[in-house]
Amino acid sequence: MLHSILVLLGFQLLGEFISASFDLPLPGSICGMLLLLVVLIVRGRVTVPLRETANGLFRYLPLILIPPSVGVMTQWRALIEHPFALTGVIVFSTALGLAATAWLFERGLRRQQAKK
Amino acid sequence: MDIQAGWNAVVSSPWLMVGITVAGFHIGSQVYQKSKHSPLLQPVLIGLLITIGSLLILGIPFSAYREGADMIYQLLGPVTVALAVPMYTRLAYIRRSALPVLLALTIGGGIAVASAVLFMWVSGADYAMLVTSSTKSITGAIAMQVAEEIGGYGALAAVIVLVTGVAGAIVAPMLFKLLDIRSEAAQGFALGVCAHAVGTARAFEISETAGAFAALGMSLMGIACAVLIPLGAALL
Repeated sequence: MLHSILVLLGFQLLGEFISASFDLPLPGSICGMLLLLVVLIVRGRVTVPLRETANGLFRYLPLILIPPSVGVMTQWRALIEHPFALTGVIVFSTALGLAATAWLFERGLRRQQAKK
Repeated sequence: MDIQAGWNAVVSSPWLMVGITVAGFHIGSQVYQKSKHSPLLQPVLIGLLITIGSLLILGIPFSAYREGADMIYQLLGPVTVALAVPMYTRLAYIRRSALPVLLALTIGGGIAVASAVLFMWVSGADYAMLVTSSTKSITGAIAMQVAEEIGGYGALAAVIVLVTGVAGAIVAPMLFKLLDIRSEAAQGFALGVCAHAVGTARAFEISETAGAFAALGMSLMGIACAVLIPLGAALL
């Protein structure tokens, strides 16, 4: 458990180092994730504790998203002043994007299976 | 005994901010479970409303809350790094799905961004508003960075990203039923591409496979947007 946490922290810091030193448009955590993925692929296996720690952490992903979202408090005027323009557009275009992405993925998957 | 001093200590303690947030999320999760996973009652939405309500009642300004609750938010870094694990365990499946992944990411993700900008433009939004709305499907940290880089509103980007995520998590189950999307990979990928971290959290409720594809979708979309949106804005 502690070992897994140290692995995650290590890759987070390594990601931050690479993101800053190459001035990448990606945040350190995404760089760290990609690096960890590469290391896992190279090693060819993932330890059970790391898997358990990761899955345990994902249960709290929505909790972690609450603090930055509370910023809506200071921006509620924008949501009310442009009721259609903002909320409506966001909801509608998100639904459209979701439908298109899922549908295309399912189509592509079926086509690929049909080939085999 | 000075009750006022004690009260002041509590109201300014970072642990109150952490406590309010965890309590809000806990209540949200309970309600969500009691409602048999009603999509409208997303734990993050209930938790958010309870947190904001508590801050308003206690008269705590957002700046004080943000400072205290920052220790929760900082966890987003290592948790994002951990997303490499489900992606690795589903690697064979992801490799086999190269065609659907590419197809859905470029066209589906493109539609998600383009439709937001287009509808915004039709409703007469200004340039800063247009570029801000283009960041809606990117995961929080990248969205704010990108929005500010191309002359949008960083703080508003965070709100748009939030509304996108919650709206996506709410409408996704209905849409998947309507369009008869059965593959967990397709469901997860769409949630990750269009509704970033909130969608990814939702996908992990479906299954670990859905979660892995959501993590993949969120990362690819984040990377594509971080590179392409500033380029697109430069051409406008």
